[in-house]
Amino acid sequence: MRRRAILTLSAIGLLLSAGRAAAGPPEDAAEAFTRGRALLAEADFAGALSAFRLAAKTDTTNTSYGQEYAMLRQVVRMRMECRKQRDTDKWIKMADALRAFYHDHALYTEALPLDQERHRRRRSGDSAVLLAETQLALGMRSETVELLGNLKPDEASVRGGVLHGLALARMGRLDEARVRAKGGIPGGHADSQAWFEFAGLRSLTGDATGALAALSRSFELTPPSRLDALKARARKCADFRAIATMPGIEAAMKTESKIKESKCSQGSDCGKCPSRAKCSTTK
Amino acid sequence: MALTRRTLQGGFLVLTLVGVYVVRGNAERWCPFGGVEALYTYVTEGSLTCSLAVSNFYILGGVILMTLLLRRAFCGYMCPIGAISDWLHGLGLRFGIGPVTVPRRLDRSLSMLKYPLLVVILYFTWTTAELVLRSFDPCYALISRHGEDITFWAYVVSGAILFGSLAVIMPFCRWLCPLAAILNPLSRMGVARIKRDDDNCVGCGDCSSACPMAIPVAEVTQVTAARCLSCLRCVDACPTADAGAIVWGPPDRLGRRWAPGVLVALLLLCTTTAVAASYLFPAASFVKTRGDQVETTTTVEMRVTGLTCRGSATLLMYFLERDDLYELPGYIKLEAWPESGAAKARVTFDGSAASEAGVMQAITEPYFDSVTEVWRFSPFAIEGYDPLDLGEEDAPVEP
Repeated sequence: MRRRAILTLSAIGLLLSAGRAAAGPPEDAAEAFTRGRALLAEADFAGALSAFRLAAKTDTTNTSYGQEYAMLRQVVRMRMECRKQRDTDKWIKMADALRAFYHDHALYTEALPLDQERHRRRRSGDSAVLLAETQLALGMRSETVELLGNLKPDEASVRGGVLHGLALARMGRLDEARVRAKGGIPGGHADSQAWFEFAGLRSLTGDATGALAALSRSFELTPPSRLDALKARARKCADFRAIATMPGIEAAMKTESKIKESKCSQGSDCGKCPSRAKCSTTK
Repeated sequence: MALTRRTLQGGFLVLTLVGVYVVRGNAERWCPFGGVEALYTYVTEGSLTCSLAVSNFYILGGVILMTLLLRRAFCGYMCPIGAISDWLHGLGLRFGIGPVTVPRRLDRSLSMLKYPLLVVILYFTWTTAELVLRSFDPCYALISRHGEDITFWAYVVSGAILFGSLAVIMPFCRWLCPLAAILNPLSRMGVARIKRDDDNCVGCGDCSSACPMAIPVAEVTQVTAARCLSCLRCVDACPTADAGAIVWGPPDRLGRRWAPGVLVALLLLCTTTAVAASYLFPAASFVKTRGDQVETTTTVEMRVTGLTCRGSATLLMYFLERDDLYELPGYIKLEAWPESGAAKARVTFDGSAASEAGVMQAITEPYFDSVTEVWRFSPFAIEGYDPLDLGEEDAPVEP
């Protein structure tokens, strides 16, 4: 009787371990998270969400797993909501959020239909610029030239002009691009991104000194929290190949931000907060 | 009486230091002057200046009551700065430093400095709703555990006060303390007074010499000077006090023997009342409302981490007012008690338009900051609420 019980238990144990071996070892949180990132890079939202969920569930102590899951979950919900939304104002609000997410994750193919829809629903110089930015990220140069070249005079903008020049330069139409680069950027009318693109335009059109100056200006106008990412982007960007070996590039890459960033320190009080005086009146 | 006073001074100083350095509490919330600084913003906005709490008002109330009964006894028995300054002066005397006697006219001029200082502090605090000058505040240097916004100047001012206290008795309390500027007019109305009887006085002047606030006790029959600390040093110093040359009262029938007991009892009564009020009537220190109140509202109370100050309470309201997928339609009222760790928050909303779960989601879900065009995670977590909902709901799947 005793022998029989031992044999039965051993058999159950063998079966269980065999079943486990067949299913493979359980995926650990880090692996699931990395898999989620890879799936997201391929725009597999459902797969990425499921992987992030597994990572967050497996390792509840890692806050970044939970945060990534929560954010992607909201993006997925927003994508579904966006399809149903008929109110253009509400749709644009969601499109803004989704577009920022797509651009942060280099999901330009996802951003393109969104920008096209925005340009269709509420055409303006700004919507054209957003669409042109995504088109350029996808290498659609001729489409960008056509889009920005057909803008009405009242739709023209500094950034649009720069992107137009950049698209021309990337197509090899350097003489036309130089005309765009020659005018420069009217002071005070450009943000960090416009200066960055303008630096690329100058670099492609052979104005190395101007490119370095514009690149430095772009870094100065970038908030400290985003500066490293922009510098990393500059190092990889093909537009800057011509100035990558220039003597001034190191100095330009060391440019510090001149933007005071409002950031909650999560401290015990608002003593050091740069926006503390505005805290009660602004959101 | 000197021993009683030193014991009380020491006791309150130890309590403060334990509260700050052992319990690591926010001592700014125990400061009566904080109540003065926070008052304007609380009355006009319903919210307190950052890092202060409703306890400041109760403690201010207790100190005002104490002043109406016992003059500036708070300064002489309870204030940590007063205690340190007083003791340092004793130490200075023991080592032969001073005492430096400031001429009466100069003393009077210097003692006026606290009034413009009070105006400056209140102007900047009330217009910005922040304790903007605390970076230079010697009291903040003592109680902030080297707070993140403390400046070198706060330590310079502290050093100057401590150094000056060795030679001059309680210079900060006499000339610069903004709380003293508030208490002085009330102290003038104070019930308890030092009374000198000319018939029994031998005119030795010891009472005047003993007074830490340089009040010429020997020249008056009744001390009405607002700066009297009710320390009773003059009574202790009087060689004919037993004969009734100098007494502390009223009431008159309570003789010298009773005075310390009554004084200590009243001090403790005012303090206990203030502390008890903080617990019995814990009014919210941050209140913000959106929309008109509806007839049927639902209220949810929660403990929120990340709700540490006025700024984060404003941010919490921003989350409740978000206009994305987690929008809460209709009326919203947020009452918060910001503090480090898990802070209490109460949200009242239109129950027919929103739900409790919706409130929780609005607070904890990430949001897109349309101004900076950046996605941000919520800095808040609610005790007992899992925003990821990993145990129950499946992840949303796109059709």
